[in-house]
Amino acid sequence: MKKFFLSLALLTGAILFTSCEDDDIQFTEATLDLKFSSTTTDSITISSGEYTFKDVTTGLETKLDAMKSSLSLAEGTYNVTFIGKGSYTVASTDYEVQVDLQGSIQNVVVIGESISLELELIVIEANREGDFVFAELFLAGTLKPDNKQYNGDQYIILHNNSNKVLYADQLILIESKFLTNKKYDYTPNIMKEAMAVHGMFMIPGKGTEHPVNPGENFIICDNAMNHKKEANPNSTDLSTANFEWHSDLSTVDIDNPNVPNLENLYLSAGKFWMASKQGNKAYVIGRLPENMTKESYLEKYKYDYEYELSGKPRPQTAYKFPNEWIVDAVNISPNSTFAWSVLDQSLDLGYTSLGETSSTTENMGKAVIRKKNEEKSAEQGRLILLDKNNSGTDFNASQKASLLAQ
Amino acid sequence: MKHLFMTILSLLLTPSLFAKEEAEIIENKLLNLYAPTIHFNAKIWMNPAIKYDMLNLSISSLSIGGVLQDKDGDSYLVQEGYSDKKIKCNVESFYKLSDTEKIFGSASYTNGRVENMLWNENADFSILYPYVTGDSIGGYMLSEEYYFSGGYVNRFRVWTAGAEFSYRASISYRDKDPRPRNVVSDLKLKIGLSRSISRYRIGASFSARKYKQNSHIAFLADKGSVSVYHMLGFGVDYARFAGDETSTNYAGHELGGSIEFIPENHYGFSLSLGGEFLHITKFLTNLNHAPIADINEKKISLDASWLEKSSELEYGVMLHAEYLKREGTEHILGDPTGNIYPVISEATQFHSPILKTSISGTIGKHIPKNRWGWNIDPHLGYMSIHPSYTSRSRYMKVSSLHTGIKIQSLWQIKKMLVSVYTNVDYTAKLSSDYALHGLNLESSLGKTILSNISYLSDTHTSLSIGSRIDYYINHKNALFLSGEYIHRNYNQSGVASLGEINIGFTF
Repeated sequence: MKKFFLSLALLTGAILFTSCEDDDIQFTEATLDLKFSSTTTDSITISSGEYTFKDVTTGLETKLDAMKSSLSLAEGTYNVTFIGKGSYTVASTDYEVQVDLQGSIQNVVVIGESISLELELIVIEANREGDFVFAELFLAGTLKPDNKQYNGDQYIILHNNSNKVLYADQLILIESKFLTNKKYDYTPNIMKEAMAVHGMFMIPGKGTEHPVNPGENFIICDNAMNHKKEANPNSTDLSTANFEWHSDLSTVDIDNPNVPNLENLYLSAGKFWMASKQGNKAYVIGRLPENMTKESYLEKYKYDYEYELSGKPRPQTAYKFPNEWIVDAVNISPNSTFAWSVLDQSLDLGYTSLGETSSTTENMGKAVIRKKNEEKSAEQGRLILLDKNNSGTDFNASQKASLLAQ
Repeated sequence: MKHLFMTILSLLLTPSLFAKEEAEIIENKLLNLYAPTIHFNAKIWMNPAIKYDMLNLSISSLSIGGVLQDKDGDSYLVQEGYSDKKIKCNVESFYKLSDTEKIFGSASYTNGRVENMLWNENADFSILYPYVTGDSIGGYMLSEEYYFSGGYVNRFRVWTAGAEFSYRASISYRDKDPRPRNVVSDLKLKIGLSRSISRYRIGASFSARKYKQNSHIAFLADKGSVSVYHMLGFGVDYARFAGDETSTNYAGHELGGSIEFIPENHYGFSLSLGGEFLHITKFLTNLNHAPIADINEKKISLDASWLEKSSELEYGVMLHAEYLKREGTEHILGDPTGNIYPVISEATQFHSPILKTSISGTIGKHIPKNRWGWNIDPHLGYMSIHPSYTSRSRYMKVSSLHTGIKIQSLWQIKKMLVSVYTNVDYTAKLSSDYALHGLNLESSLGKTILSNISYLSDTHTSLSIGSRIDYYINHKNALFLSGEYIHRNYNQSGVASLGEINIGFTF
């Protein structure tokens, strides 16, 4: 019996100590290299900057100073961003130009012992001339006192960020065709030259009917009515908005005859447009070139493409809007599920968010609001908004919509 | 499912209803069920080939019962909620077909309601943790479960071979936003073999299990949806898929084996050594079934007992040791193409080792001789748990000592067999420590983790009293009524009490 209990004790001991912890996380050494998008700016000297590696699995960010060129990362998929400053000297002069530098790559797969990352930087001159910019996009809608969703109070505020009077006439508001939180390989890929369009709506006017002074805003909304008084006490008064988007479906859309309607140039599905409440599309404003009529645009700029879904090709047709006609652009995506930028990097390097996720309940009443450029505003004595073509840094994400506070 | 349930129930009852007259009378059958040879090292009977020797009679029972629970405080795992109400119908049968063949089986239907689940919308949290899908709203969960099992065992000379299967199907849901709907199918198969050597019987078994859970969360209210999160452990979630990835499925399997050693007369030294390996993968249904995480769990357990009897008493001692190691591996998914996410790497972030050891004893006087019997079962044990999440350096470390005693008495009073027992347990925290780096402790998730840590590391006392009364209708049949009340008092997490009552028919 003694032998037996001895054996038993040994067996028990073996069971109790058969395990050892091994932390099974693989790391990869990443070496970094920066290059510039323009060959004329090869002489740029980077003075400061920071890399951000966002692990899309966990949402955790790792920062690295621009002066360092390698780091160790846990294996994973990363969105890599660089934001920095630099300068170059204009050829045959002593004139030094200050520039903002930024670049990003999405869904970088970091595996193996080491990888080499090359980041193309966009160079933005710090003193470029301004134009209209998005000041605020309120897309999520509001909640009624009985906990039901309320629609029709979406609005977009545009701002004259230049130092001269600009005319809103024929400015076009565009919603992207593709979603920022669902990525497919669309072929042909036209991102470098144009964006794919879901809907486009033009401000009426012949050229000088709607002047906007430097530093001032104007509002485009869904239904230009006093929502707060007439329908939902949690909403706001949009009866004095400058423009409204309107469909011919009078049962679901209310037309205020005192507020001009946007002209519907194109809508890829149906006749009724509501901006994405999930906050998972990009929005741009742009203008057709002077010699281009809307009819000739609609005739020439069709975009036939296809993508694969469940192993089958899905041919589609939309419109494309050339990047060079775009005045301002903003990618909006749920923060946690951002999959890709549906705009070329030169238009918007990053993205901003209505909320952490696409939950309409959690994002109710929230907007993205552009930051004030404090330095330039003080210097020029008017409101100048931040515009570095990076909505990730230009905007305050997930803010209470400014007009709801009124 | 209901039709299948009724069919299997009929099949279970049929052999007993048409059983030929046997020498056994119901009184002796019931007394056999109280024998320490059955209860003391119950693990050994899990091998179907060994189970042949558990009873040498035929007995069946049909019962219906209910459980009511009340609590004041947070004495439960937040993700599991607490069981408020449960009704269960159960049929069990052990039947001796011939001198060399026995069959056994059971069927049950359970309808229950669990309250206050938070950060988990799945069924079977204990199987899937930490990879459940959760949200900050949660709420109650309604469930229905059907369970069937059946086994056949045959003895030929010194060899005995047996096979057993069980199938559990359940649906759990909530009829209010968020509306999870979890459908579980859980199939187990076990085969066993034993051989008589000298005065001992040695057995071995092999088991396989197939587990599946399909889950979907819907939002129907006008208000819209809230975000759902794919939890990774210790408050970490798979950020990339937070939001509206509401459809998931889990699929996996378990393989196991055991060896047993038991005296032919059940008195003397017995041993059961078992091991199991569980593997489950979680998939996101709407992303082309992208696999996002794996659960791997290894479990090894040992139950060694020594049971003796004298002319007056039966007594024994048992050693139990169990080591369980659960590991969670996250799949790192690359750049999606056509909504297909390739797996590019993996990281084993979640580790959860659990060690349990205990020594227990029994001493008692069996009833037939004196019409009164009793037994006293003390126990003393140690447990340690140390779950951790590697990259965030979050962990919890708890060790505790538990001791208790169960005192049971059994009387034969005219046409009744009355059992009364009380059980007192005390669990004392020996040490506890935790680190939750980077977790917002004021958030709903942070409070959930803290509440769980507080509950799992809390010193507590448990007192239960229970009774079962069997009334012999005739020499073949009996009615029974049983009830139990358990009261647990935690130092920090409040109190919980549970009442259970069952009524049934034995034949």
